[in-house]
Amino acid sequence: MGTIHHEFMSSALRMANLAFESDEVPVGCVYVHDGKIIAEGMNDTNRSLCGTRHAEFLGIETILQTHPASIFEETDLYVTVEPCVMCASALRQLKIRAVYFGCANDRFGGCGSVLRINSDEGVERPYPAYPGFYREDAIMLLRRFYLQENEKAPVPKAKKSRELKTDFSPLDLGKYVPRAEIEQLYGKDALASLEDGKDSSEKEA
Amino acid sequence: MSPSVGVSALDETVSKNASETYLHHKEPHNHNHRRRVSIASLKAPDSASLFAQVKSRHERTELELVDVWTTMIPAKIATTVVSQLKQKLPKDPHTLMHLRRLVKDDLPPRDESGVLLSLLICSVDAVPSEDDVRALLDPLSELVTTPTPDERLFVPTIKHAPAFAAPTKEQSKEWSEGTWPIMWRGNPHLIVSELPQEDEEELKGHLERLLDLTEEAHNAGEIPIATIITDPETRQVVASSIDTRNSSRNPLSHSVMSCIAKVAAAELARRNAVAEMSNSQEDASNQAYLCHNLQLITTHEPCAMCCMAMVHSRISRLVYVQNMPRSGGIDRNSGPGYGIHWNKHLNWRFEAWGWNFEDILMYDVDENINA
Repeated sequence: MGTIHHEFMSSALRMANLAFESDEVPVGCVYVHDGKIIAEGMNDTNRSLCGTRHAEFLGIETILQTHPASIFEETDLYVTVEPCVMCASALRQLKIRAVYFGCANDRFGGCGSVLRINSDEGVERPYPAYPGFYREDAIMLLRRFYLQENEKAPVPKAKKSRELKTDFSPLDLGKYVPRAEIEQLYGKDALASLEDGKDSSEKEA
Repeated sequence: MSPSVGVSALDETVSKNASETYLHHKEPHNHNHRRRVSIASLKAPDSASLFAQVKSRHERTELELVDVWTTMIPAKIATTVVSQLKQKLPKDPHTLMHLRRLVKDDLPPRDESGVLLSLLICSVDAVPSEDDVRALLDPLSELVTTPTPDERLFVPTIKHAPAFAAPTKEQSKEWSEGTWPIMWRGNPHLIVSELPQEDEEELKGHLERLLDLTEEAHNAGEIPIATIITDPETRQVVASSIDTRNSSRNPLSHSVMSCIAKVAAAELARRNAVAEMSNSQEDASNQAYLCHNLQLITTHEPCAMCCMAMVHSRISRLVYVQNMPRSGGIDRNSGPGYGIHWNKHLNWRFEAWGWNFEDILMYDVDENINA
């Protein structure tokens, strides 16, 4: 805990909270260049009626208002949820330097969960994507959002899905990050706490 | 000018940084320009089609299982049970159309109920709780009139069933062994390989419009890629757009993205106008299905970003003219072969059709461009 990555991710989480308060799927992000946040973004699909208005795109457009696209080559993205296939491809086309994300996106994830758009062979250079920064906070925000959505639904689902779950399945860090990079990038403490999480949930199961 | 020097210098620029190439090509005449063909007069040779369906290697070739609720019922009342049950079942998140509804059980009946059949009720995901399944079955069990009915009747049991129809008849048999059996109806993905004649005629008109748009793009110093979205029901154009990444200086201003955004903007404006007139807020809950049932027609095989944008907005059919072997997200031979239109892990699939006839595009687009 307490790395520079966590610091930036807490700013991304603040944006995700803002999305939550605006009735948007709570995903938020910040772009960091030279150690400074140069743009923020939050999901905007419901307001715009446009399914492509993801947090990443709003941030990209802010940056391009004042910078040439080449700035992305020296820019990192911090986003609370793994970029979807669309955003993962967009980021690759912009030649983003690196992506740090909170939780995985099992349904649409383009940085290792469903496809590996970030690291596959492609026209532009690949980029690394590192999961797990404030992962549980990102998950809890999504759970609270979908719970509230379900309560609003004309026919609420079964009772079981109306309870807020607070347990977390383990994150398979190896699925996203090469083994050699894990300790170096996450630090011993972070790695240990990730593995602790794994142990405790395995004991429960 | 000396062609050999000029060409090799250009080639170097192209391979180094393709997206910049067109920034240096603001003058319209630098694109390779071919004579425009009249698409309306094009006729495919006998029994050939102007469009071919783009199948992906993600077509299901491995067995995937889904848990389903089943029970035993007497064959005598099977028809009544099935029709009454169908009225009460919730919408199933899994398509079970490929599965047999009733299966003759191997075990001989134990009492006077006569022949027993196994009945497929629904997927476990549709009704997760066993109590709820019992609640569905209880009223149906009253249809049994024998004094000592078999105790297995109307007891819910979970079984595994193939989640999808198999691509071949042989595989269909194989998959059905030890699981709930599949009903072989042929592979719809193999059968639908030709567009209806009316659709083909309609598409020719849309392609003419696309050529107009690429000319417009070319003259404006943009990359000559264009997209239109149409409503197959009314056969009307809903939105059209060209690539604008040069003028916008945004490498993501692809024509597919802009076209989808235009559909959204028009719908938003319509809703605002309605809300203003009736002074009430229209329900916006169906936003996820923005382009549901709409058709997207574009000059080049879209990149992964644009393909996923089509998934997010629920496009039903994609038609494109030219393959992009380096950057495309559809064809199994393009890029890493994503086949995004038919990826079983994503939550939406759409048909994809590729132009299957002589070149019609007037301008070349660099192979490293993400269309």
